[in-house]
Amino acid sequence: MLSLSLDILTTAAILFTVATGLLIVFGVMKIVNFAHGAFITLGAYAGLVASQLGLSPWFGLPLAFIAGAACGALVERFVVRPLYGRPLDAILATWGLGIIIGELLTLGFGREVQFVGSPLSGTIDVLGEAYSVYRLFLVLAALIVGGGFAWLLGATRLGLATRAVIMNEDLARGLGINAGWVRFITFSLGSGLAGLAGALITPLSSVDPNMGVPWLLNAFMLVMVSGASLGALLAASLVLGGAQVIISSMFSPILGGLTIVVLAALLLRIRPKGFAR
Amino acid sequence: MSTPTLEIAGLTSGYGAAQVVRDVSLQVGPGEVLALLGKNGMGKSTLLRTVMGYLKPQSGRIRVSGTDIAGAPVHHRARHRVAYAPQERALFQDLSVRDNLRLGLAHDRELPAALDRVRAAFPFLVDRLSQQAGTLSGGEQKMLLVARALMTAPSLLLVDEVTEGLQPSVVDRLATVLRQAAVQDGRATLLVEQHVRFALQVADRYVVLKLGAIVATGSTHDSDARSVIEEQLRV
Amino acid sequence: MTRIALAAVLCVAAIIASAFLFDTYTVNILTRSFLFAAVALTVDLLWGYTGFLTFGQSAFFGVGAYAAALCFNEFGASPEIVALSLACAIGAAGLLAAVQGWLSFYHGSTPLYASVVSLVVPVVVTQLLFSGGTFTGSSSGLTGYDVPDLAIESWFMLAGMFLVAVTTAGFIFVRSDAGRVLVALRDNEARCAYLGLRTAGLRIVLLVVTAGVAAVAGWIYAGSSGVVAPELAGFVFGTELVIWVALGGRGTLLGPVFGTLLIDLTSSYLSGSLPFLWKLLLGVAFIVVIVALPQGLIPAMTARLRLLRPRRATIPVLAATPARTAPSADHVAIALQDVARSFGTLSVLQGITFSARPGELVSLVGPNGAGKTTLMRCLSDGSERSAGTVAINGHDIAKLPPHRCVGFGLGRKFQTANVFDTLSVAECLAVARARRSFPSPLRSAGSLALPDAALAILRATGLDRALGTQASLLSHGQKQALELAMVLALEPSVVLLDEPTAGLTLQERRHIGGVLTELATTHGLCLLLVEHDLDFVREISSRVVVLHQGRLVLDGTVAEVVSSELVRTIYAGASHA
Repeated sequence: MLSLSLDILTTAAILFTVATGLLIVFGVMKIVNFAHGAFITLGAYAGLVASQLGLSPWFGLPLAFIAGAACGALVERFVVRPLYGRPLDAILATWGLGIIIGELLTLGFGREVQFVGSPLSGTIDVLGEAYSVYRLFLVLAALIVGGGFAWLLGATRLGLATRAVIMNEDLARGLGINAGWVRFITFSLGSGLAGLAGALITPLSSVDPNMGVPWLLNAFMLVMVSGASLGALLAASLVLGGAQVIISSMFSPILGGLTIVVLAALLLRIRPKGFAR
Repeated sequence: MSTPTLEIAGLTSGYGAAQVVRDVSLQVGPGEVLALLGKNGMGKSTLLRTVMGYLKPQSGRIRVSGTDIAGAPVHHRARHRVAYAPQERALFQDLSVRDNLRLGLAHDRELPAALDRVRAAFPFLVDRLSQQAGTLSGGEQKMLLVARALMTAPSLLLVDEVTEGLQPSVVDRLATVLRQAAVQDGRATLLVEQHVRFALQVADRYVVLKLGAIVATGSTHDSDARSVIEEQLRV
Repeated sequence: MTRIALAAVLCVAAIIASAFLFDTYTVNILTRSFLFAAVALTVDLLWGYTGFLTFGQSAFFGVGAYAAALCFNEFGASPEIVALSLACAIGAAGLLAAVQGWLSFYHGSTPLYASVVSLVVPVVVTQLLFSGGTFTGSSSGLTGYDVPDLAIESWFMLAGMFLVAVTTAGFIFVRSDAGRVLVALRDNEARCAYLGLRTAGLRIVLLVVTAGVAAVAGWIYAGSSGVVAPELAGFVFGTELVIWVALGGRGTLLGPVFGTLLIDLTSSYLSGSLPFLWKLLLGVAFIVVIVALPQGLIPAMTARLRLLRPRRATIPVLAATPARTAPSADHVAIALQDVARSFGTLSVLQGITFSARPGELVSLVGPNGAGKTTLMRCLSDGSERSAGTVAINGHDIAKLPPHRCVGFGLGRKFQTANVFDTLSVAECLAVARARRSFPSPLRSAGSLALPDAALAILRATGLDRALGTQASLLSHGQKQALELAMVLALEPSVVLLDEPTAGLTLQERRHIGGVLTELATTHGLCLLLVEHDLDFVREISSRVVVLHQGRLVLDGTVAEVVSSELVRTIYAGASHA
């Protein structure tokens, strides 16, 4: 029971970390970044490179963030910006980008599955139950990411401008806010977060050029049911992630893997606003 | 003669193929208030939205302080001291009064000085900075709207039907503030109104739009101004 | 029609000939490409023609393939089993499509949501195939099952003829009157709903039919290749289909077919020598096309665009429908009782009660934000109001969607001209008649019967001489007139008009005013009009209803309203003095 609760907590933390970048891009730009999965993969390879260079595994995290953000900045400038006003085409183009990034990674690193060591190994005793230290660290990481975002949005000038663009872009522009710049920063930041999330999850799984796709799907569905609210995303990650853990352990991991997408689609059919207020 | 703050020449604008504003020319000088009168649907708001850059003119020219701003994006115009108080959904309802006011500024460091100006115009706002804007009354929201537009000390102020549905005391307060902004601070103001008495009280000159074109114009001090306007607006 | 038949026969001949010309490898690859092209064609029908971006057609292909493989694997490949497996393939895919359609399309669903569901379907199908153990062969799929005893060349010809048949049918369909309805759905779904069409139902039916086609393609694939794997149903294949359609040229049918053939064939040859580079190039090409050439590569390369684009040229002859007797004036056309609308704590309308009879022209006036347009919505869509009852010609609209309200005799003209931009004037009008007699999926009719009132508008505005003109090229005034004619083509007895004169010249206003009065007096229609221009209201109305801050403040004759001090106070602001 305790182990199950910890699994739910850590799974929700991972889902939240993976989906935050997608959420913020969706909130500001009203498009779904299908290259998010590829940015996750990119971040994972950044972690791999760091470990191959013999650097501390911790060093992989900032590297992954920078790789994702830089790539995102280029993508925003040259692909997403010209498609502003054609949201479905923007979604398609980001999917094409995902393919390109995946193939470039394959060309560079080969197709095979690779492994990255965990910066924190072993288990820790939680109320008499031995539990992976790294998984618990991911809860902390999710709190830092979520808290950092909340601070950025709530306490900075850029955050205020971003919230203004989310609520009413026309009005924000009329007050002198450069919505194009806000979109650029948001997309870069969201992509950077995807990279960071990729580096964070690799010690739990493995690295391969297509590893981002399943994560993309879950993150996508979580964002759909959360609107543009971080709080709703947290709730959705806990509820749907919890359902995933329970169904995986009680029935089968394959059904568990479907839980989020199916429940989210049904939820949206019944309540289009999802978890958002 | 000094350069007019706003100069519009032969402006035609609208949505898609529709022409809502037809061949309008007008000027507003520094310290001058021009009232743009007309019934609903006659193109007044469309004219303001075109000046602000939300709509591309189909033809014609718009100059602000002598510079042609035809291609400038909306936020450039706002940063170059054109302030716009739109008619509908114009506040960030979920943000605090302070954040709404901050959004009127380019930098937070200008906030203390700007708040002093707000205190002079609408003292109550400064006492309620942390209140959510959506919880203000209708009249208070309109005052916040005007206060926010004045934050940047604009050279051109565009105000769209700010008096709609307001009680007389609020209307009077707004009239005083807008008049002061013009006379004391030299702001050029283009005031879209249906409220004739308010317009006559605040403006120096008036223009009446009908079906998107100017049908009457004159000084508000003319003895027949009121009858000319009411003849054009008669119910 | 004969040209299409000729082209189809030539294609079949070419396919039969090439079966003996190409080597076995090429024949095998082409067989697969033919089938993929048929599925790509269904993606084009859904995306290019009706605007539904789907990533899920692969699921139906996979279901078809697995239906065949499972049947053959369990029961062998006797002729009965062949028939049974084909029926299973179509049935299972159709059922799945019906579920997907029910989830995706309902009154108020968004295009993004429908695309989301289309992503979920292949993911679910693949995972189910993975979890099927030895029954579905799990991740390695099924192989080595009995297949119908046909030579490689025969499968090739079967696949080729299937593709030709599907393409020909698609071509005939999109050129037909029913095909134009699909484009109308893409251009403006809300307008379709307010023309009384069951938009969700139409989309579901189309999805089920295309799912059946994809399933048959999958079935042939399973028979010809002898191998099925879960990836066939996967969403990666689903997105590849979208990429092929985009590169080939969405909304052209032939573009996606040739695009798919070309890309799949090239992939097979290049993926041996340049496996990753080829996919990379494809990805780059895809992005370039999306950003710079949204119409696709093939249409961009072929100057003879008109040959590729299935577009009908015939302009129908106008005719009059049998005249109907004017509705008698002794019943109530519109009845509202305590109608209210609120958004959270914000009340936009409250306690609205009034009624109107046939032959009345009632104007709804009031300042901005008085709730006029909201009231129009509450009258035409049962899900809009928060409280109260609305009856149209004695029918309670309850919570019914717009197309049912139209069924009670309602017509609604929107504020901005709401026509189908890519259709011609005649096609727009034909779509407006689709509720009365559903158009043929095979041909385009040579004549178009319209009620007198609609014909009168067309003649008066010269639109009857511009039947072949694309609607987006009309002037603003003509678009307004066209939309009004479309609404009248429904033969409504109650017409709601939201600012029909906005953006029109004075002359056009007078004109529309004359038409409206005549509709009320001569044709006995009940008209409810939202209008800002009080001069206009005074000239044409038989009655005026004044709204202010969500409440009905006055309901009277023009004279009563004009002389009312209350109206002057709330409306003009002029009497504050």
